[in-house]
Amino acid sequence: MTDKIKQLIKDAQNGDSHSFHQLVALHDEKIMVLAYQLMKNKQDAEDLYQDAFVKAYNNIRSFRFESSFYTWLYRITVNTALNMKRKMSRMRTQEPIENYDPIENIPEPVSTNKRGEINRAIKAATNELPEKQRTAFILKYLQDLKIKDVSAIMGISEGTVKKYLFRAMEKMRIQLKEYRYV
Amino acid sequence: MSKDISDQLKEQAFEYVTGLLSESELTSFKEILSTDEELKKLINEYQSTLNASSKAFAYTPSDEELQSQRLLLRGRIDQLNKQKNEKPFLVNILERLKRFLTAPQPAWAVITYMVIAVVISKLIPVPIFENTIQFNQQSFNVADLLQSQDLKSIKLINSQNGDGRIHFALETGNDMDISGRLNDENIQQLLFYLLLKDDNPGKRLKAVRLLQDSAPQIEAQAVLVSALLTDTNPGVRLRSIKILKNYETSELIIDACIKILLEDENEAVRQHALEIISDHPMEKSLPVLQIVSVMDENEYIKAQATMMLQSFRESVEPDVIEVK
Repeated sequence: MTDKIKQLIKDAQNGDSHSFHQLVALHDEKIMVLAYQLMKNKQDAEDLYQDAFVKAYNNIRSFRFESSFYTWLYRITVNTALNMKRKMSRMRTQEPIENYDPIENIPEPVSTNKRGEINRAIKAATNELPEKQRTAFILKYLQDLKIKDVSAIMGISEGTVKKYLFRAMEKMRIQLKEYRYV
Repeated sequence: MSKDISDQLKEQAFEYVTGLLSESELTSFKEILSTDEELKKLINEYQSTLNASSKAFAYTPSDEELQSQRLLLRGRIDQLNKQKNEKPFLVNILERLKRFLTAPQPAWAVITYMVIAVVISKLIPVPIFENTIQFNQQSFNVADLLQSQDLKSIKLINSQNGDGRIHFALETGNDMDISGRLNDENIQQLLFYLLLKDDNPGKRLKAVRLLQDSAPQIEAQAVLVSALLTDTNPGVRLRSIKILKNYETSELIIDACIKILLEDENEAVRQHALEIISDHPMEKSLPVLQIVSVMDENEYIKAQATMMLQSFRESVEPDVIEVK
């Protein structure tokens, strides 16, 4: 963590919202990518981005400089995503209500080629994973984090992270068998 | 994959691909790998799964996208800071309108805007919703819930099974779910609350979008006018005014449109306000049309206002004909 970021965090902890917005601008690209990977569509990813940063703002005083700011933000984002999904599954719904046109999501073009088909199969396979395995898989392999960081973010032991990853990997490998050598 | 590979070896293969093996484990694993074709195949499968996954989820948000999210966030945080001193929901509607009414205005405008306050103040003291909701065998009064400080957030979730019902998840002391049809009073109350109170513009847009399918009614009209006059998001204001176009035009709507026409920074919103005024010629609209015909930044709106002025004069003052 650079001195500049430390100072911004301290200023934000003292109530300077301008510093908080500077912190957002420095970190939000990765958080948006993570949100997109954790959620199943862009609208939910944007909701997650917003909710996670609002939580970060409300709880910035609890940041004690014991981990990197990214790890802290990731942890908030992952927990917020799990809460959102819990609520959604309680409603037995998967799709959000359409939004107003100016910020409506541009739908992913339906790809007719093999790559598009594989991508859809991979997304479907990750969606089939149990939530914690899926989260560990995303953090480790898509976000390229270290096992100890995944463990800190998910609040579980490194051994459990490895177990989740192995199970996730095996399921993905089996699910994607037919696409393997395409 | 061969059944010959033991689970232990599979686990080692996974650790090998993930880079988790220690030096000594790596050396012995490589020895096995060099002679085991099935194991090589397994390693390839793990690796190709990982490569394909990172491609499938490849995503880089554009600067524009991030900027718009940052702006939304800034609005939400500003709102959060303001809310610390805010009063409960329904009391606040009148105050929000008052802020507009007390802004420096021409005398004629001040008088006309008074109508808004009068109509709204007639609505507000009446508890709009007395209904209770049942959740986990407990009863909750929606009006009490909305007035209380316990309500942390409302999530609006669409029904997937197409039953036409609207589903909410309420985060309170006791989390609860509510669902119902658009014309249910509790559902409407929650939509009004979201539209006027929620920090998240996305949710306000969802709420106003749902309200467009509800039957026109006086309470919804007051809420939509309030959103039109006070919402910071142009999408919400635009949607609100489009819905109000379907309402039977009232003084309240016309007064709001006059204010919008003079003050709203969004051209599309002003355009719709102009259309409402055009459909319902009133004498009090003439001064504002005169101003707009000269001062609006948008040439099309200016031209429309000029044309309307001409036809209004004819319809409002049919007897006044100057003859030289």
